[in-house]
Amino acid sequence: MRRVLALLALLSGGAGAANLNRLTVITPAARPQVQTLADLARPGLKLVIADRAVPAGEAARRALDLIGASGTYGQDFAGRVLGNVVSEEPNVRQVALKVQLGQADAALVSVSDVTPALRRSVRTVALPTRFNPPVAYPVGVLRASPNAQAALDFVQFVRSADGQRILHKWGFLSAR
Amino acid sequence: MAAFLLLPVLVLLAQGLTADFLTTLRSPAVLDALRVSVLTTGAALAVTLGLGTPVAYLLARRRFPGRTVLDALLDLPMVLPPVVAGVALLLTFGRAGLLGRPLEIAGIGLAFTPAAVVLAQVFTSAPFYVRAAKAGFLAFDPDVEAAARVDGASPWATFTRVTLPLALPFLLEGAVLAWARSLGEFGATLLFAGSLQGQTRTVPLAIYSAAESDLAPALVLSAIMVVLAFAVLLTLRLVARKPT
Repeated sequence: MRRVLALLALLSGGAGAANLNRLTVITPAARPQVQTLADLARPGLKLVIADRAVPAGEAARRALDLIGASGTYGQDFAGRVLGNVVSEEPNVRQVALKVQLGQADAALVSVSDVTPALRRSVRTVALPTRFNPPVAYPVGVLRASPNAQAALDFVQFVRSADGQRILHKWGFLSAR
Repeated sequence: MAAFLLLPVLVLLAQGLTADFLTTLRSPAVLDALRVSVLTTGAALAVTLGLGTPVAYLLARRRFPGRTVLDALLDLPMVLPPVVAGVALLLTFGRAGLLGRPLEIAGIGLAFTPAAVVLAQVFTSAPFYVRAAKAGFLAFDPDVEAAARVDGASPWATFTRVTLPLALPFLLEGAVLAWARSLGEFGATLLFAGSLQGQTRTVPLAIYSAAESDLAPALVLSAIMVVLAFAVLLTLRLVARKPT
């Protein structure tokens, strides 16, 4: 969060959320190991998540805390799920690859990470939105930008209907 | 050339050897990474020596069909980008891979274990040893071995008393190269074994992981790795020089 604030301080005109993203659970299509969220805590399940420093990894931990706090799946849900984590990857693409190649039983990734190519080899299990607060991606113009006008044009394009259509195609939620 | 090779390392050391050095060294994340690295690279070296020496000896002494092709094929892991090596290992020894599935049925689960780290390290580093060891076995006249046999030495005694001592400098050089390569191994390990503190997160993976949030601990960890590697490399050089 501190990093996002530092980033926003660098931005001036036209700043705002470009798009939103949510988390989803993926599991190998050939050998699905997760049908419901409760399966994430099943002993022996090999779960891969992103590193804490990666946005999807931070979001995954937050989602687990929310599920645990709700009590729906038992008090210790977050702890049991984190006990199943066999790898904390520095790159979300590699988190997805582990499931794509059947090495891991499940992973928590952003919806936008489930690309059309990946969709063929994995099955997704949706996370209810109350456990899954959207992650915002800010966009803006650098205050010190030497090409402020071109940058502003780009920001406006990203936030326009055309720009949002492209982002939507790649799995992002509209910020508007 | 020496300046080009040394300057970046020295700059890294200067940046890493700060007041935080000792505190960072004692943090659990660093100690875990060092433990995982020492254990896995040690095991990888043992496997490389045990399986690589016979292969190198056969390549150096025996003529058999396809020897040149096999010789060239064994160098392939050196030219593969580590990430490609990792994918190849996943497709072969992964849980859904060619050999991984039968292994899993037999109760041998490699996925996300330190054993997978060792496998990735052996795959990427063993060719360096085999190459050097082969050169070592070719560096002296095989008639010396024949003479030992004529004098009544058994094949095993010939190998341990004549062949190994004569090839030893090359074998040590190869072992050092292979160990250094596996200590720095990153791409294949991350892809094939993953990254979890205390299990599979070696020093290079811990450095990368730390660099995601803050450069300072990553630099300290890099300095630790440089110091550790230098100590081992220097010790091996001194040991190798003693007999002569």
